[in-house]
Amino acid sequence: MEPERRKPEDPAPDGTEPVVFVVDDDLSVRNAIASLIGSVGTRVETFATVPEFLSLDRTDAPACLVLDVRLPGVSGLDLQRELSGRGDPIPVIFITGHGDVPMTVQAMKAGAIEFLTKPFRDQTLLDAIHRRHRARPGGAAAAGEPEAAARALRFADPARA
Amino acid sequence: MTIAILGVGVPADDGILVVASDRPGFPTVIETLLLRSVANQATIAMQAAGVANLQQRVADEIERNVAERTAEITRSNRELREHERELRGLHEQLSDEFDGLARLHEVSNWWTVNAELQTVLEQVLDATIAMQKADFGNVQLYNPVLKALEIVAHRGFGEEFLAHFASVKTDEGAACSRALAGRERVLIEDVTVDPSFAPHREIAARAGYRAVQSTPLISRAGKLLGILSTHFRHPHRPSAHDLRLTDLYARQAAEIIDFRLAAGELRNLAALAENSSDFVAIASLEGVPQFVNAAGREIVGLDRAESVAARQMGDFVHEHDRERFEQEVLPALAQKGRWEGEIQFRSFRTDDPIPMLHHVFYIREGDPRLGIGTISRNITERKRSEDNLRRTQEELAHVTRVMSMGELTASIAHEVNQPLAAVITNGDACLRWLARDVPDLAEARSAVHRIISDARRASDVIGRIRSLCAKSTVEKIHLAVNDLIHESLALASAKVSSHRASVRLELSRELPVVLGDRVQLQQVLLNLIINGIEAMQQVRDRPRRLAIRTGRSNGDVLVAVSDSGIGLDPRTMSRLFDPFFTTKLDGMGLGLSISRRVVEDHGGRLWAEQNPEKGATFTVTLPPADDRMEA
Repeated sequence: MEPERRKPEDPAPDGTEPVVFVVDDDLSVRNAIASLIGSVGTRVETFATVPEFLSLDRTDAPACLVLDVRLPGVSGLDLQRELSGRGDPIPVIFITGHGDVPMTVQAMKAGAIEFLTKPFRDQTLLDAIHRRHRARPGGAAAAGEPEAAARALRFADPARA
Repeated sequence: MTIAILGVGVPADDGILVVASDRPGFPTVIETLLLRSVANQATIAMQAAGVANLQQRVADEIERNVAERTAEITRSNRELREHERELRGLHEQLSDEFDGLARLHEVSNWWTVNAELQTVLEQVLDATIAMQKADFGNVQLYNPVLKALEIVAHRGFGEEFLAHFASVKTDEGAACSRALAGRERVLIEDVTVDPSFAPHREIAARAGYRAVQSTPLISRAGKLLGILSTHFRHPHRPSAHDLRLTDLYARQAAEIIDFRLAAGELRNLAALAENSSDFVAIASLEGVPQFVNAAGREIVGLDRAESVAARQMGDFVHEHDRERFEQEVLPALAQKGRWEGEIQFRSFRTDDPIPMLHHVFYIREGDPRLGIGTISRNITERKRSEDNLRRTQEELAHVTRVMSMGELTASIAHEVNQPLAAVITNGDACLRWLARDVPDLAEARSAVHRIISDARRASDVIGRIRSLCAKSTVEKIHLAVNDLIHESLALASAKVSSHRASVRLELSRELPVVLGDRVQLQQVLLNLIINGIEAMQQVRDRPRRLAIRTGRSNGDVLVAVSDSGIGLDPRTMSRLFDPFFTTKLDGMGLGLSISRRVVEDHGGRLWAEQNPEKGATFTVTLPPADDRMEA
């Protein structure tokens, strides 16, 4: 786990600012994505394996998960199943370096927000992250948007997709 | 004159004494006394003479008697001596008879003595020579392969004789030869006058014999096994009695030879079973084991001395295969008389399975079944080597340039894609850091550094893959297509066996060589083979058979790979060789397109056809090396 990227001009963390968790076994990819997300001022934490991520004590801060499908040991899809089994509403964005077309369908059906293949356009990833954060239930922006809330619920709770 | 007459003798009438005288007064008393005395003297003298006479007569008589007696005694003595001689003669005869019979007894005892056949034959020969009082002798055995007699034992002969009679056939005029031909004893009382013997007279003379007898040794079954011959320095005809005994000896000798030859065969067979390194066993028709050879005992962990009769045949089979043994092996044995295949035996010590190549069959003598025989080979090592080979081949297949096209491509794609994706994302990030109200130069620089190092990583990957492929330029040499097929099959063997497919080869022997790159052509064949096997993956109702045929077509070399799989979909057949077209879930769709390109680079063609029965056939043609134009 790498130190979170905090920039001097960004507001000090109060436990409620959104965070992006990135799980990918490739160091170059982790670093690049972390830099990208940091460049738009969002907090990011990176992990090389699923167990590392799961051992994190998470706060209530709005979060989303950028996850490589193929990981050594527990795969990204397994993690997604695990999280939905736990009733964890964290939105999941899959990235993959393989042409895993059939997996896309599987992942989306299981409630993933997005499925991107590397190399992806930076904007595509950032949009996906941004959308999920805004659509989160309990997020300030979601409070006054019932449809958005409902949509967010749907997206956030894969079990109800 | 007065005459005095006195009687002489006793009584006094043997004679008279007459004395006359003129004297008067004759005989006076004294004279008379004297005359008496004289007469007495005369009587005594006469008596004495008479006695002497008598004595003489008696003596004569005695002498006569004595002479008679002596003559009688002498005669008696002579008679006694003659009797004695007769008795001695008889005694000798009896002795001889006894000896002869004793020898016969000995000969028959030789059955039970564990002596070499050679020793036994020499003993028979010695007995015969002694009994016949012969001077020389020999025993010949009949060699059925050469159809000739060969001397195996002899007494008293030298090199010349032995060389001359080393191998005797039926037409050679010698006694043994005639005995062989006629299967009857031959007696030659005098070799110097026997006409047929003429060619051998000189040899006989130098060897020192004038007479010979040859008795055939014929087994109980009527087979002539050899000849027993004796030779005599002087012309001689053995007595009927001698010949009778000789016949007895001969019969015994024949039986012993017969027995020993048969025993020798049996011993060889038994030794064969015992010395074999395979598991050799015999069981009764009910399946009760009676014999397991040493190697077999060792394989299954039985003690050398342990009786096997306490077990059943099925006990030797591992429980994993017991059912198969009862439902497949035993019925096949009962119906067809034999079964052959791989089955797991078990170790009596550890209970581990032991893979065996198992032959089981009925032992018959003619029609009737005598028992059940087994010859099985321990193939643990073979299986281990096969497994090793398979694993090595799998490893090999995954490493270096003989990976299948699809896998190689996918791995290249992934290995290069990761750093490239990072480069792009780093570039994006860098631009964003710079686009902030206050550009973060430090972050931007970091991003650029990461770009450079990621790009290098991608470049390294390409370099590694390039070196894996070893040859970037194609090297074309003379190749034998049949060899390429064997090589490609070896690489695919793991897939063949794990998919339970069988491969049938019909390789023409008369193929010209082709000019090509070994690796590339192996790739093509491997691709077709694996495609064929995968096409049969779902097949359950018919055998999964991959057939590879080579031959000639219009001068080109032809290779046809046929499977019994799901065949070709007519709707997609036209796109079969297009790049990235695939019907497989995890396929890249590059195998066939690359294969066709390789084949065309070699001046050949690759096409596919649906089989009239199930499955598809992919055919490659390649031009022969001599009329190939250099690419």
